This record gives sequence, C-alpha cells and structure tokens, in this order.
Amino acid sequence: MEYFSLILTYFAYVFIVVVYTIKVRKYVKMPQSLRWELYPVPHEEGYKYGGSYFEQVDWWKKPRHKNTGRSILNLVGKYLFMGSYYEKNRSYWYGLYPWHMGFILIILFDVLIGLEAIFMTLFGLEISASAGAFGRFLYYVTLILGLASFTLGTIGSVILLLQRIVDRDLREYSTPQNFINYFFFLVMFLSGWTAWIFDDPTFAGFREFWVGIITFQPLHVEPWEWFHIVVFAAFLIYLPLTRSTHYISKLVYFFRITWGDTPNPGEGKMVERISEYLNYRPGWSAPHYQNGNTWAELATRIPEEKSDKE
Amino acid sequence: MAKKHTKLTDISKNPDKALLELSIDELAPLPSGCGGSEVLTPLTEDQKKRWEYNLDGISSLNLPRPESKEEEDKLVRSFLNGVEKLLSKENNWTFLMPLAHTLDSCGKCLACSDACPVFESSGEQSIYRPTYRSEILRRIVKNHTEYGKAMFPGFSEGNIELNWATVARLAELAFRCTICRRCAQTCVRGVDNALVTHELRKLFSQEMGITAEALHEKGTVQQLNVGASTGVNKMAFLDNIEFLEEELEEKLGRPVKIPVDKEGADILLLHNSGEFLSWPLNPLAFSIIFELAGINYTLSSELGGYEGTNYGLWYDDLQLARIVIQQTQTAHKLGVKKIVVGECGHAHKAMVVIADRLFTGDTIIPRESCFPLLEEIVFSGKIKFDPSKNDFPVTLHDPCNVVRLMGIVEPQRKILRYLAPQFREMSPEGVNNYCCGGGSGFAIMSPSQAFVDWKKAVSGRKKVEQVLEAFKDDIGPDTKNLLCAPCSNCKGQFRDLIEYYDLEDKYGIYYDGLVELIVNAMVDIEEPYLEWGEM
Repeated sequence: MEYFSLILTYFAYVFIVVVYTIKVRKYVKMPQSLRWELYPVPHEEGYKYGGSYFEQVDWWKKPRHKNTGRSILNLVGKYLFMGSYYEKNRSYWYGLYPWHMGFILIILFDVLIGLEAIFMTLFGLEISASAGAFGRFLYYVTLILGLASFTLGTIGSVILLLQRIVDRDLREYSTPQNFINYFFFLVMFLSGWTAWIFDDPTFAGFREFWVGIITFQPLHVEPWEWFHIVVFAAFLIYLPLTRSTHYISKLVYFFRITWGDTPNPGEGKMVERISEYLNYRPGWSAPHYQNGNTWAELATRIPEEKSDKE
Repeated sequence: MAKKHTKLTDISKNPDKALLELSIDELAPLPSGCGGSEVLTPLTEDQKKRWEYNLDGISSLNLPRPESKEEEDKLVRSFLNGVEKLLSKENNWTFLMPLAHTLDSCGKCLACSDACPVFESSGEQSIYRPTYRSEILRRIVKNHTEYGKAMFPGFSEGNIELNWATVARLAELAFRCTICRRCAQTCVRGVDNALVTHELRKLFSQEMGITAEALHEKGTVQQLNVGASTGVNKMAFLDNIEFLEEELEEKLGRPVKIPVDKEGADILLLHNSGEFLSWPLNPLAFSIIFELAGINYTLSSELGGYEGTNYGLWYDDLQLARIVIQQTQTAHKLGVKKIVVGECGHAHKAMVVIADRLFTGDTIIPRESCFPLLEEIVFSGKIKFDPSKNDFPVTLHDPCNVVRLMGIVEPQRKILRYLAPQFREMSPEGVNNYCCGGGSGFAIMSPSQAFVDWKKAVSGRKKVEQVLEAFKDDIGPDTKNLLCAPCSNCKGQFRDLIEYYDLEDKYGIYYDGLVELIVNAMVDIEEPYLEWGEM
C-alpha cells in the first residue's frame, strides 16, 4: 500500500510536468499570429481608459513606455480574484471562486509540505505547535492552507455541481466530464477533510510521507491519509487531461495575442518569422487561391476575377 | 420578453425548419417609447425555395440549397477539409494560435453572453449566444478532425452530428455576429468567440467559396480590380475630386486644388470611398482642415490609393493581404512618408494593426490614424474655432475597430470636449462601447430584406438604446441632437437605424462624422457646415 502511494505520487508529478510541458510547448511553437490585440492593454500608458500608443502622431518615432509589471499584476489579479466573473456573472463566481482558490491552495499546501519534508530531512527541523519560531510558523501556515483549501474546494465543487445541474443553460453546455470533474474534485477535497479529522490533525503524517518520497523509503500512512494521497495523485494525473491547460496557455495567449501590440520593426526576428510564414504554401480550395503558390506569391498576385460591376 | 431554448445538438436536426423564428415582441424593449412597431420582413416563398434559411428564417448568404444528397455530402466533406486547414500552420499561420487557445480553453461558464448586444437585444435567444457557434465548432473539431480529436469526445466535449444542416446553419451563424469582441473582453481565460466567427467566415470563403456577395464579389474583388468596393473607378474618383474642389472654393471663398497623386507629400490620406458617394462633406472637411492647417498631403487616384476599405478583414486573409499590399505599394510609388487613414474604423484596423505582420523589410511603411493628427491640428492654434457654433447636444459613438481594437480613445474626445459644449458620453463608452450593429460588413450587406431588417432590429438595437439614453433629456421632434460617428460603416448603419426607428422625426437625432463638426466650429467658415437632415 505504501509502495503504491509512493510510486503513484512520483508518477503523478512527472506526468503533470511532462504533459503540461508538451501542451504549452505546442502553443509556444505555433506561428506568431497576425495582431489581434484587445484594449485595455495593461502595459500601455493609457491603460486606465484603454488608450494605446496609436493615440500619438508619428507613434513609431516616439519612445514606448511599456509597463510589463502592470501586465503581470493584471494577470495575477485574473488568477487570484477572477474579477471579470465577479462583475459579469456574480452567481457563477460564488461557486467558481472558492473552487478555483481550493485548487491553488491545495497545490500550495502540497508544495509546502514537500518543502517542510526537505527541511526536516536536511536540517532536522522540527515542525509542530511547540517547535521553535520558524517550525511553529510553518506548522500553522500549513494547517491554515490545508483546511482553507479543503473548505473552499468543497464549497466550490458543491455549488458548481448544483449550478450545472439546476441552470438549464449551464447544463446545456456541460459535458459528462464536467460533472465527473466536479464530483471527483469534491471527493478529493473531502478526502483531505477525512484525513485531517480521522488520521492526521497536525498533518505530521503528510510530512512523514513526503520524507519518504525524498528519501525513497515508503513510510506507513494511516488509511484515510493514504486515501487522500492516492486521490490527490490521481488529481495531478487527471488535471492535464482537462481544460486546466488554460492556467498556463493563457499566459502565452495574453502576452502574445490579447496584449501583443509590439509593432513590426521591419527587421530582426519578427521579420525573419514573417518571411518564413510567407513561404508556406496554403492549400485552400476556393477559386481565388491558386494551389502550389506561396503566401507571398498569392498575396502579390491579383487573379483576374470579374465582378458584377465591371 | 421570450427566450427560446435551443439545444446545441439541434443544429443538425430538422433541416427544413428554422431553429428560431424571431418576432419583434420578443426583442429587448427600448426606452423613450421607441420601437415596438418595427418590421421583420420574412423571406418570400420563392427565396425560401432557393436559399437555406433553417437557422432563423433569415438569409445573409443566399446559400443555395443542395440538389441531392451527394451534393450535400460533398459540401460537408469540403467543410471538414476546411476545418482541418484552419488548424494547420501552413494554411492558417495567421490565426492558428488564438484559434487553438479558444478551442481548448473555454470553461463554458457563459459569462460572455451578457456582453453580446445581439444576444441581449434578441431577447436572449440561445442561438445568438457568443458561445453557441464556438461550441458547435469545438465539438466538430474534437469529434471529427484529426488535429484536435479528443480521446473520448462524447465524454469530454459532447457529441455533435455533422451534416449539411449543421454546416448551413453554421455558415449563417457566422453572419449573426459583428465581431465586436465585447465577449472576448469579459473572458478571464482569453477565449475569443468573435475570433471563431472570423475563422468560420474564412473557412467558408477560403475553402468553399461561400461568403457574402457584398464582401467578396462586390467588395474585395471589385476593389482589387476596379479600385473601390463602391465600384468607383479612377475617372469617377477624379470627377468626385472636381466636384469637391468646387465646393471647397465655395466654402473658403478662393480656389483650392485638392492634391491628387502628388509625389513626395508627407501624407497619403486614405478615405473610405463610400464617403465620396454618400457623405462628400466628410472628405471635403478633411480638405478644408488640411488646407487651413498647411498639411502636406495627397490623395491618390491609383488602384489601392483612393479606397481605404478592406473587407478581407472580415472574411478572408488572402484578400486582406492583397488589398493591403496594393494600398502600400501605391504609397511607396508616391514616395509619401506615411499613410493616414480617414474616418473608417475597419480601414484603421486592417491597415494599421492587422496588416502589420504581413510586411517584411522594405515593404513596410508607417501608418496611423487620422484622429491624433486632427487633435494636433485642432489644438495647434493654426485654425480659429468658435465652439458656440456647435452648441447643441452631441454624443460620440466609438467604432469598435478604432477604440476597443486599437486603443484610440482620447483624441476624438478631446476635440469634442473643446468644440462641442454640450458633449456627453454614452454609457458604456470607450473600449466598453457597444457596436453600432453594422460591424463586420453588416452595414454594407443587403442580401435579403429579412437580413436588412434583422441588422436594424437586432444587431443595432442596443446602440439605439444607448443613443436614446445619451440624449434622453433633449429628445423631441423639434430638437437637434448630433450623434458623432467617425466611421463610414457605422454611419451607414446609423443612417439605416435612424430611418428604421424614426429617430430623426420623433426624437430629433441626427448623425455625422467628426471632421464635419470640426469644420462647423471654424470661425473662417461662416455658413453652418452641418446639413441637418440632409446627410
């Protein structure tokens, strides 16, 4: 049983990293698209009202003041507060926000437990309510993170599951996987509760399990705790198979598309890439495309089509 | 207000029956006693026999009905080939990345629905929801293509049957969205349902040769071959210039030559050619302003030189590229330093933004909007103004392509705050504006009276509400309220909306561009420049 949970956990972490990497690489490797930005763009000086550098005469001669920090903060805000949902779809936000925070916190909880195990293994750090200041601090932060994630995740899963069942429009757009997701994630968050209530009120058992992970020596874990570890590993394996890739792909998307207002300088890497794309040979079948030609050839050659008014 | 629930899977069922039959009393109500007696002309029996109308009883494409099952199957295969091509970099490097993200990332929360003026104005009809067409395409990709096929598509994505009814309805659905991208603004994941509309239109045009006649044959094809989507050729354009010069002499009291094909000018000014035909006071106003401000500019009478429009932006990447290249080649030949785009929203977007990554090396030429230049001129002191000449209620329409999609928000406002003492904003304004309802080509499309009525009754409805709200304290048959719409296509839509809702006679609402207001406030132009009710 201990070996199973140990190997599954190793596998889960390798799997999630590999699959996310493959998926994100797919986006990063895609051709740079034509510009398709959408205002307000946070790094622009006129962000407050949605303005851009196009508001200046001879904008290409002017220095660009790009506030990348504001873009990063904006994205962090999207991740942490989901303000757009709050403004546009409040009832959905009531379920989505705790659900979403449940995910973030449970992953932070797991990462923190892992770090604590490293401290324990390498430095013999004691982590408990009666330990030294740092150990005591870690103990309470972990406790709060764990319980907050289980609580928020449970509340969010229940609300979203009910909304998807009750609301006719949401139900129409839901797939079987959506319902399975909410149910599975509910079980995952609830299993955290059961592990805490029945087996491990200080999360010391989780730390020991992670010491085993680091030292490659499976240690005994209690049944409810074991159940949570297995479900959480399954969650990590399942996550990249869902639409959760958006957590990462939207990073690429916002910076390259929605806020991607970098003008073509007429030279350098951007032009090299465009030149490469213009040599692609599209195979569209409509009469105004002539197969076999490159993009550049097609765009500079106007077919002799006759319109009605000619 | 009624709301007809249409299931996603209904799209492939009952091919001979419309999914929705819209009626006026189902639409969102309008303020100030407006609306209620509009007409939604149905297709005639003859049109119904010839065209597909099974989406909502309306035809925007006049799509012929296939004559046999074999023909249907062939069209479905062609559609599927098109979907595969949309998802390959060789065929769609231009928009593959944003499309892939949108197809992979939607959380199906429906938060974007409330942002859509078509969905809201229609009385929240399911088929007009921004996610409806996206979800159908997503399911087709995940169920029926090699590129994106899911392992268990029915489980993870939901099923969809792909048949001719699905394809025909999707084709029409691609023309029930103005690509205003308000929906994309609301999505925390960056999902862009308007892009799906854009990509579907491309698929139909580029693979199946299906698109709105006004956009392709009478639009980009005519522009590339004749010189303008209006059909205006070089001779007709020069006749227009001659007429404008006569007007110019009358306004300024001295003969003035409008520069055409002047080599080495600083600026090539690119108008929407529709202005010369429908609103000649607009290019005339530019001429007056540039003349008095001493701007070294030129117009061009060459192919690509007197037409700023680029309908390719809305349906076909290749046509978009061909037009941009023709336009910039003309500018290079003239040796101008930059191209300035006049009051045409989509010309702004196509020329300045979208085309930017089509240029390599020497082909690039600086391009900018007219609005910052107008702002610079107005506040330069070169021209004397008397704002009291514009002392009537004015509100500003924000063309989506200029504002939400380019971030040009303040220059036009600064001018109006200075020159229009009774200027007031609509709500919401700026980058959160609502589309006029004529976006993405609707303003110039008249494929059937049914569609013409639809774009006024449904896609333009929200804008009418906004305009009425902006002027609510001043409306009446004896008042004069000016809706400033600095975009040719928006003006075309407002012209139709004002007539359809009787806004001029009942509420005293008129429309015009920005430069006309600027000239109207000039001290040197003694007679009023605005022609209320004769625009």
